[in-house]
Amino acid sequence: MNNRLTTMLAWDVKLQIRHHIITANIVSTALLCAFITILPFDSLSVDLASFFIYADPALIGLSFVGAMVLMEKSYRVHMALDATPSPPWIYVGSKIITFSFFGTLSGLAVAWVARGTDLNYFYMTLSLFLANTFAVAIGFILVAKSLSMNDLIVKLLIASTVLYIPVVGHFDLAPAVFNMATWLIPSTQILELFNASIDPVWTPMLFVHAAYLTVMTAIAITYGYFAYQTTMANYE
Amino acid sequence: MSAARALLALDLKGITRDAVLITNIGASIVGTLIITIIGIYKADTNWADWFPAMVAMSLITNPPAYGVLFAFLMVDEKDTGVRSALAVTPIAKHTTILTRSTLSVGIMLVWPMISVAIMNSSWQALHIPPLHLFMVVASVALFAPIVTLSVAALASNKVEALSIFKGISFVSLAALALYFVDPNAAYRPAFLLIPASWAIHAFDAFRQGDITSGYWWSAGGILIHVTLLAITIKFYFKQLYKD
Repeated sequence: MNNRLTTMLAWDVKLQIRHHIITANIVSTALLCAFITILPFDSLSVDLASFFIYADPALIGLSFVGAMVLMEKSYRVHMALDATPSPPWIYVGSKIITFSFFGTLSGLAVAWVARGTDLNYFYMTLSLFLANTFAVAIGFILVAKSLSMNDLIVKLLIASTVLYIPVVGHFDLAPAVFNMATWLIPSTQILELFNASIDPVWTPMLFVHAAYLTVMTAIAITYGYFAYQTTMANYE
Repeated sequence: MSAARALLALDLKGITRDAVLITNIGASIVGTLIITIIGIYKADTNWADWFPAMVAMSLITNPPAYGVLFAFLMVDEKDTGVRSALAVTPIAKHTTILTRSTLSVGIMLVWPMISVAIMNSSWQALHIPPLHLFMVVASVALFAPIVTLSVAALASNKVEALSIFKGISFVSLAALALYFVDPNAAYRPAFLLIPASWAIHAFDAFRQGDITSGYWWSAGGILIHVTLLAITIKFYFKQLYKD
């Protein structure tokens, strides 16, 4: 692996420990697991298990990556990085990998408590990593367009509200036309992939969901990278 | 009072500058509308049994969500040196706390009353008088300034503010588990350590027509929040002004 990336990865993990991000994630994951444990069901339904995995672990990086990048901006970290041979993709890549890794671990813990061995962990790991990567990339786009912490909070609130709307359709709580209208919001695909990891039903639509989420994640990463590069990493 | 007014104006400017307050209210309205619209389609099904839990969730999640807006403002002030400047002005130190608390508590006493009325308009599943609902709302409203001050005191930067806020929110949200815990479970009283659980007990007592218990639970909730607020204020001053 690229030596600079390894150094950056280690540094990001250190920062996440130092600023209590990992502690906050452990607390939230533990509480979510405890909550699932006391639910009066032997095994959670597929929809409910997917929802709990989505509720926090799948979107962990969305808010934290933004706050971390803003903090590093105020400490002039980007300016310092600009003077090193380390290209901006190392910075962006390291954040995406570390946040997605810890989000995936948290999601797997929730999945284990919710379903035990009754799910396909290979597909769940892939789905969780893809979902987290998408969320972190969106976080990069939001922070690159934010002038302050409050400005970032505004954007996060709007993004989170939009990303949670498909949950209504997930539980079949609205008419079919609502589900069609929210299909383009990638959380629909994330929830479908979680469902498929728990209860594998191979339909052509599942491949469409996977392809759509992959394409949206690739677009989000590309856009997030260029947004970061033009607004934060360029001091010329 | 002019100092308090000036601070209040400064805070309002701070949280309206980036449309934070408006967006937060907007997000609350969207959440309220979603629950209301679900009610239109599901009020006649067994989903109605879950409506009280949905209301309880909205009641206990609002105070930390609004309280953290002021916390971020205060962490920003720390970063920019405004906090140090305020510390050497003639403005009484309690004035800064009072203005910030008044605004968030004011919002938390009014908005939940409106949102519950809107949600119940489609579900028609909650039959408690406004005074009883107000007691429940009042028993948890002070959690907003508690979140503001504890995050502002504990966090040394924005990332830590977000981490601490997340921890506090999840612990507070854990009170919702009362709806799922076996009523005879030995560990059930442990939930009383979570301040929001008092509001849930009050809400359920009023809902079930046990008015006296409802008032006792509300009074207990208010007392716990006042005590916690006093401790938080002391801690905040100790951390920031080194009293």
